[in-house]
Amino acid sequence: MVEYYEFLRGENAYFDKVILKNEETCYQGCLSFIKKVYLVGDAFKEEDFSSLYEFAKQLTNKAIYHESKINLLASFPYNNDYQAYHTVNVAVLSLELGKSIFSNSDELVNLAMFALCHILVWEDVKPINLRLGLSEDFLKSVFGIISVADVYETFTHTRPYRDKLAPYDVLKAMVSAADVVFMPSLARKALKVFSLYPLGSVVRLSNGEIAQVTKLNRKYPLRPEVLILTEPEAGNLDSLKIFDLSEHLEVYIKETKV
Amino acid sequence: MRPNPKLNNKKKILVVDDDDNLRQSLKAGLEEQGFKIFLASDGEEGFEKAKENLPDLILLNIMMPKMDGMMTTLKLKGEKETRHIPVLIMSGIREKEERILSHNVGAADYLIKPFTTEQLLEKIHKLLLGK
Repeated sequence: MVEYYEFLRGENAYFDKVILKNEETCYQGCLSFIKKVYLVGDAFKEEDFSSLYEFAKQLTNKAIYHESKINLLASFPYNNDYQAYHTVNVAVLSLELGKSIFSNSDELVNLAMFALCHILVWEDVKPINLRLGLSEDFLKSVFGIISVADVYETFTHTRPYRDKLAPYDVLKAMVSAADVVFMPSLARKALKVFSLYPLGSVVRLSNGEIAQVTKLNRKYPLRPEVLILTEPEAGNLDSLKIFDLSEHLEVYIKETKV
Repeated sequence: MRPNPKLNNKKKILVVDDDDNLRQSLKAGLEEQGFKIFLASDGEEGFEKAKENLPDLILLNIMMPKMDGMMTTLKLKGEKETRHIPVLIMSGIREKEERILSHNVGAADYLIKPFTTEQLLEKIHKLLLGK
């Protein structure tokens, strides 16, 4: 989690550290649960159901109330336990996308439940849906959202056989293929929701400086707030320069550095 | 296996794999079946050859240099000329999440390596004849 602390400065440092710690507890809890479930095997056990519901509820609350922090955790790199990290990240991203589609938190909790066990139930949703009793239309939307989150998460993270790709390039490829691969409206929503330059992404600015995105701009997604990384004063957090690109129209993001 | 008479109109297949031996052996085996074969050794070359030759089917490995099979599939689905061409992923990766991802990027089917000629031809016939 080193990357996040690069953002911290001044009086907000303690507050942000505490908040992130809370997000990490939830994120790590989900990870442990997923590892346990997947180690048991291919069948989803009855006793796992209540844990699944609890973790889905926790993730949904985080997605609603602490969106940027939990999303930041989902953007961090991982080098092992690919299946577990990938699964939790897909749940986080699905919720992010789901918030723009579903209007109540129960629907979001159901979405999170399916996302957390999507690898196990992909070919047969009946056993879990016997408990939930969700309509076919709702399930169609749920798996449409999970598909988009799955593709985005996979390509924006490193795998043993390839490097991660820049979110910009991944979203571009996804939107081009949207008509045949995804539910078209969902891929376009992803473009808006996931952001071309997500939190933590490193970019090169038109003035030549390297910067890291620290705050999204929902209204002007191409103009987030960034932290200038070029030559910071060693060990002095207060010397770090935050730059709001919406206030400096002469400077723009030239490229994403992966 | 004998050539399928329903496929005797010289269907074109593009084989994209960085393993030279496998590429050549697939070429020989599939030409024997009456298919016209094009070859590419990585995702980028495969993407270009697909646009150039417009094959009826693409066989694609996942782990390849330059551009992996999953991103190649997604990019092929993003091109007007190639989006309708079925893609058969061939991979040694057995994990279920890779099969799910292949489905999510638009691949038509997934074949785990190593496979027999019969298994491959069964998938090819299914995809080309829609059975």
